Amino acid sequence: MKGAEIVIRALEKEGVDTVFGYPGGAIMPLYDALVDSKLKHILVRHEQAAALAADGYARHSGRVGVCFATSGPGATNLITGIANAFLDSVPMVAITGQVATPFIGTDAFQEVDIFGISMPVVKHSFLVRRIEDLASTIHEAFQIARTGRPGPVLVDLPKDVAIAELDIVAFDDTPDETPARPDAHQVAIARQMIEKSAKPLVYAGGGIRIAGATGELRSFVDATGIPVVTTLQGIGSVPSTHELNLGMLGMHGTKQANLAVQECDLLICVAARFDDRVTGKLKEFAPHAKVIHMDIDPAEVSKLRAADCSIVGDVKVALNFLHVRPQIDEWKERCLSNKAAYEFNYDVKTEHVYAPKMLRQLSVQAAERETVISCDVGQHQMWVAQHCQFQSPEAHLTSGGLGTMGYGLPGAVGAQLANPNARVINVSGDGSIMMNIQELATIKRYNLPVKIVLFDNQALGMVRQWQELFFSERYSEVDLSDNPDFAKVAEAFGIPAIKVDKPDQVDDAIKQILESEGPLLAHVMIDPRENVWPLVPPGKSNTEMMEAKAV
Amino acid sequence: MRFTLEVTMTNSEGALERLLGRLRQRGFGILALNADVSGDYASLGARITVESMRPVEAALKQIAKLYDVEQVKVHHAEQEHAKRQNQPAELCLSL
Repeated sequence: MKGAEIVIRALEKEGVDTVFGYPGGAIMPLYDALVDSKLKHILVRHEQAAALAADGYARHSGRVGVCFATSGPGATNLITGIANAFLDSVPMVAITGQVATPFIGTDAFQEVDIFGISMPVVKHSFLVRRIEDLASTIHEAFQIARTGRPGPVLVDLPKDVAIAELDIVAFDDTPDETPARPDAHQVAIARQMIEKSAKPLVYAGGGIRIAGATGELRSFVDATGIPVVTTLQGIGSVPSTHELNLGMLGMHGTKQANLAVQECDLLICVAARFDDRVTGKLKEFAPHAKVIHMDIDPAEVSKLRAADCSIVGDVKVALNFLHVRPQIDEWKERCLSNKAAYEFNYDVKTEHVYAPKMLRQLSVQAAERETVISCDVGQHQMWVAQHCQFQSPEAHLTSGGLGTMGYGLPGAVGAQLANPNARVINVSGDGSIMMNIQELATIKRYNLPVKIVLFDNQALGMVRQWQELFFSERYSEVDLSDNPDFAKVAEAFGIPAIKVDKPDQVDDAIKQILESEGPLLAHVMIDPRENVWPLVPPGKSNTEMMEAKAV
Repeated sequence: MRFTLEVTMTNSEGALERLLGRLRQRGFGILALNADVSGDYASLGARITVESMRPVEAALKQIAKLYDVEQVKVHHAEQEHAKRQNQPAELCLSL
């Protein structure tokens, strides 16, 4: 069996059904072996999109996302997608072609040291120099990617190893290690802390989706009656419609969520990491609270905020042992009255389409069937987080840690292939869409029914907002008023498009987005002056929220 | 704060580079380094003196996360240990 055939066979043995990639010189043996395989290969139009689509596939399905690229520029183009997966703990195996081993280190054609380049943004990496190691390395790569705190693993495959022959191949099927059980003593301490608390608050993060702990978290919240705030990645871990869900916390969090954090006496951090976009000024974050920190990764516990109780290991087990009922009626009442008082107002007087209102309406109407929203990065991303309703965290795909503009469209491609029956919507902006707009060709090629809601404010909106607020309105390189006609661009790729310029066109546009069968791009013009509110200015405490101003 | 790490790791491709890169990226400046491959080439032992304003536990946990690392020990520098009466002189994490 050739090395390339071993790789393909090993992928099949790992249960891989879909691979995202782009061929090239050094990886040609792998593409040759692919011809005889049942693996579905999705040809993207840029390697970055291969990694980001694999990310979307993995985030939505919980399975390992797989991408291929050739050596040199193919491999370097993967890097942003790999880093994106690293920052958001997404299981991924990236396989790169490499020049033949005798040429490594000689500056050969399309040679880069991708093993070295990728090192800071992978969970682990391999350069396979011997065909005898290939089968076991692929299995090991998958195990590393999906166990513990997941992450991307790179396997660099030299061309001579890919074309070498091996008579007897031993495929590895060692079972994965199960997550460590939390320390019983720490769990007992946490129970006591919860029982004694007067103002407890759950701070739920992206690790809940990763651990498959959504059910356990909801049972815990229902059993204890403790209000919940979620991070960007934690959205949907408790349904948006749940009474005790106060919404997202942090820089663009809800007022009721941030106030609850600042007032609570016990912060129960479930698989979150005290990111700076969450905490604002760290020293003033949850100033009255003791902290219980649950995470699979010991390096996250007490990294930024000292934990009074550390529970390292399987968060599902920990949550199941914490079903106590503290006496918190007064606190709950306060949180819920804040929630009612600070609800978002959608009755905004404007001649333009109001994006938050349209998103709210879209997500409410979309709820009748499984819908996934894959976001890009910027103002529209925060509007989705604030205004869309989610019933599960797998339904909300968003680049949190790396904040990768261009994530949304390939992310949607990945999610649609992972779940062909779902309705997948990419919400994008006129800045972000241009970062991976070539993937319209992928959508067309595979006739994926992905819907694209493109909010166009003719600017890099979030940067423009910060220049307005924090740089004395000195606007620098944020004007995109020379955007192409996006509807025509979509149509050039063979994708139907509609234009939405006025509020009275919104209802019909939503109907078309939700009911049309194939792909569709809705080009929605919005007011360039519209900003994201509330906003905690950088370096400030979460109590110092700036509120909405009339445009 | 200055302290010394003693790391035992599998001698896989890039293992030492990974270790040094992780320390640098997480804010630990390297002052001294000594590393040896075992006689059978299977493992690698490294003794690294680092300096940082960040707590030693962060270095310990970040190094322990590396897939190649089998064991990591931390020794506080003498004068630092004298100042840190409540800290053990040596922390050890076996994987």
